[in-house]
Amino acid sequence: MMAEATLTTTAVSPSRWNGGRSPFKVSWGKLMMWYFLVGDSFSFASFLITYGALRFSYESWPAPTDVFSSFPFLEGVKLPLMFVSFMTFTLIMSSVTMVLAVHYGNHEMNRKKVVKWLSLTILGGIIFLGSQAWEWTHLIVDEHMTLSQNPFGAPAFGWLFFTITGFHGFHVLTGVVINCIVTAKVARGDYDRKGSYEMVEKIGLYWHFVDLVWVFVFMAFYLL
Amino acid sequence: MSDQVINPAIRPVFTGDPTHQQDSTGEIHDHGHHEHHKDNFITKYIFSQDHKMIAKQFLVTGMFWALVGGMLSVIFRVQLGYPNQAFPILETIFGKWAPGGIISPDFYYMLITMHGTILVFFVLTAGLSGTFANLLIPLQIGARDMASPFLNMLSYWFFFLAGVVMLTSFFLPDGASDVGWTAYPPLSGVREASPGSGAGMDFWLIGMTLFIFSSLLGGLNYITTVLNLRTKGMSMSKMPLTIWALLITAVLGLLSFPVLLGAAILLIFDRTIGTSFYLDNIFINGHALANDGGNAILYQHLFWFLGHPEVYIIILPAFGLVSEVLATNARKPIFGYRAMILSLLAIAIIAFVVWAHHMFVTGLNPFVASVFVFLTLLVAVPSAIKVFNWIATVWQGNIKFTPAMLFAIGFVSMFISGGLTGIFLGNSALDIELHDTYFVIAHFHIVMGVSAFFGMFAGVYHWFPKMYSKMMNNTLGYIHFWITIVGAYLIFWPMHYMGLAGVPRRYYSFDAFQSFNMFGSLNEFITLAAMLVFFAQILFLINFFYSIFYGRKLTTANPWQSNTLEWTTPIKAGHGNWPGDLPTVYRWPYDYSKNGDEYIPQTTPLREGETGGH
Amino acid sequence: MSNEHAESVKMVKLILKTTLWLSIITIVEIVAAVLLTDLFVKNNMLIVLNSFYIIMSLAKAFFIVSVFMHMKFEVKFLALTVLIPMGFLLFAVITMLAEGNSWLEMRNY
Repeated sequence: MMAEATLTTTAVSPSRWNGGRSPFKVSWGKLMMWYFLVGDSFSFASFLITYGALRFSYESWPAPTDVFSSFPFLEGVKLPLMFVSFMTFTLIMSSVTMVLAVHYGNHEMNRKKVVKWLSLTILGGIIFLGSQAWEWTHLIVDEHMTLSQNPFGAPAFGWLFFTITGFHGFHVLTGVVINCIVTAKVARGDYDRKGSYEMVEKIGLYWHFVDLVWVFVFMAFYLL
Repeated sequence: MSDQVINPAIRPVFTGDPTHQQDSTGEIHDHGHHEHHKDNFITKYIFSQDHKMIAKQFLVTGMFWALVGGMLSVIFRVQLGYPNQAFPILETIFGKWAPGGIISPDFYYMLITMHGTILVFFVLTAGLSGTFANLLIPLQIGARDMASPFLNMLSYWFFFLAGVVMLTSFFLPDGASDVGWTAYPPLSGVREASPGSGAGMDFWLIGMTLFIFSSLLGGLNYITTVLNLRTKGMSMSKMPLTIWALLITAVLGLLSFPVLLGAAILLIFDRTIGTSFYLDNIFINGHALANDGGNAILYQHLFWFLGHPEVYIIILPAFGLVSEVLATNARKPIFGYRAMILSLLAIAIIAFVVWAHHMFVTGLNPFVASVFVFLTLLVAVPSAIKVFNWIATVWQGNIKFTPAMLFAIGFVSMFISGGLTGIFLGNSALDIELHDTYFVIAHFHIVMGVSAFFGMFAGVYHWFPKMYSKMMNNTLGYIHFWITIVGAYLIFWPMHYMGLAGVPRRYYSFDAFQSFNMFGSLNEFITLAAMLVFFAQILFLINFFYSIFYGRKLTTANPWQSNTLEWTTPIKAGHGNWPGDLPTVYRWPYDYSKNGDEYIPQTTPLREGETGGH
Repeated sequence: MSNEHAESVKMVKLILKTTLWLSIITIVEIVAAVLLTDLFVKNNMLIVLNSFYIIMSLAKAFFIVSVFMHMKFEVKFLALTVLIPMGFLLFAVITMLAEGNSWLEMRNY
């Protein structure tokens, strides 16, 4: 290549920042995913800030242990925060399976293992979405907490809850769909042919981000 | 230095897919000899993935919107200049919106809303940074194309779609949105609030959502391209200031547009599914609205969290373009290169912590307001550094007064004039008097509207040869410049006096205010000046399109004798930009009039004892 | 190859360790929320408990970003470019909470 030839005549400093390569040792695709997530965290932040500001403008706020105290198939039993613990645990686990899928893709290019762990991730995502569907249904149908009324206190809690968990759920759903597509591509051997499992890593970043956001959504609605 | 004549016969010819081949550790592998797929009309001109073509698409679409947005302002200026005077032609054109030849109040509000929306977002955001980020980033950093040409193409088509939706909204039975470009609730949150709050607002929100997607796709591409795909030797401190400005602009967009998206989603929910984020205690025709418990000021906070960075998104690319044009045409290195970069960074940081200065009269907590006053006034420091450096760059330069240079100098003039009034408005105590008067109109039109347009014109005149391999007509350019700068001052300077006298903005008519009658003839004068300036822009459009087809052919690859990499590409660069290998960079882009050489391109290796720095 | 294998095993161990930490923190948070809230409310010390949740959530975020998202193994400057913008959010959160509080005061005024 010509560039190498010129290197001999005029030294170009070998600093990573000096061009010809990424200063971060990452491909543009991964960098783009990172910055997309930075942007997306601002859209989530706008919602959570909305939540914080509105909550501070209220005299009283429903106690999460009252609102979230039901468990499927156990009617009448008060189990505060138990179901959401299950949901949180599901999401953490699906993050673990995802990181293992990324790991086996990057380190071993092991198609079978990647498909296995990705499938488990998808399963985790689906369980989480199903749980959320149950939780919403229960709150709307049994407790009558809707967008306009809330038996537990401030109606604002209701519409904030549905909007923000809904937006998070939408991200989970998107993640599940993308995971399905990538799993199919892994199974078909696309990334073996390409010689790089980076796509798994990129969707992994997205999936972990969904988990990350849940940490704060969980904190805002179920703890504080 | 003579211009490089590139002979494909003796140099390796790049015929590959210009999509960058970058491995997972970020090394660029520039494969030059792949099979080249043939472009047909659709992949070359419509769904093009070549950044140069996408830049032209953004530019021409931006021009269309500038024409529409400018026309809207001329129409509502007719009402302000000649209130209650009938112009039958208006009824012929607009029908029920101008009964008896007089613009109706609803139509007036539609006009000002769409004028703001179109110019802020479609022209000065997409049209300006869309055009120049696409054109200049790959060319000036030495890349074959954007990191993802495909997402880049999507970025344009989302913008196009947003435009289609916005344009359609003009033809709705109740007209386009009429709630102001800021779309404050409750006017925007309650469908019954005004004619444009219904379907018009729906279209506005859909259009803006599409626009945000376009902006994010573009911005992500710009950032990753600048960081990852610089050619060998192009360190961050050797990048032209245009690239720095466009990079920081993209960062601002990436961090602020998602917040607008959030605000818009909440607004859509308030309008459609019955949430009440922004609605509280609202009565319509004596009936209380079911939506209750939110806060309209919340929307303003979210909106201005985008809105303030947005004004820097508009002005920063102009900063970059002007810096480049000034240095090239003054034949002098840019003064204070590092200070320029640091002040860009400082402005970007301050941009995110001053948004509430748009809200001093909303009942903002006075303590919070005082914090925002302090932070707002800080912006004056980096802005003043930039202005000083531009002036010092031109100082004692061997100035070539090309139309681009005139516009760049005009930009500095405008930016100073408008910036000074910003210091008035940044003080909450003064702002209480001046808020929502014509003083504000004058301030932001000069500092961000006209200035950004001047930066854009400087950019178009300067890089037109690179875009179309033709020259624009200089005489028309000079006429365009002088009418525009004199006219722009004639339009906006008097507004300061009106504002100080308390004339409120957004009013359809001042009939009810005896004290404002004294400004009747001044308003008429402003309207005439606005028309004059508008027609000068048509002159520019004629020059632009005429020159594309019949302009003087470019005979040299580097018509301005500039140092940056885009002028090392052939006169008609194909997709991939350089027919041979990518250029290597040895020096910063501002080696003008150095050691007896008038200019030394970045690709010239350092001489004995020379340092590549600044 | 065996070296790489050892690396791989080490990484999997780190992942599992992180999982353990995330689970423990979550369990502690929930136990605190269920059992301790009343106690803290009675003593007017809810702010302490809330600060605890915020710190714990930030810790969880740190684990997820550094290990699961591999930030620990990336070039430091990349981490900075991602983290610095979050400072703006901090400013926004503080401002908006102050604003929310002042809305309440105005309503009660």
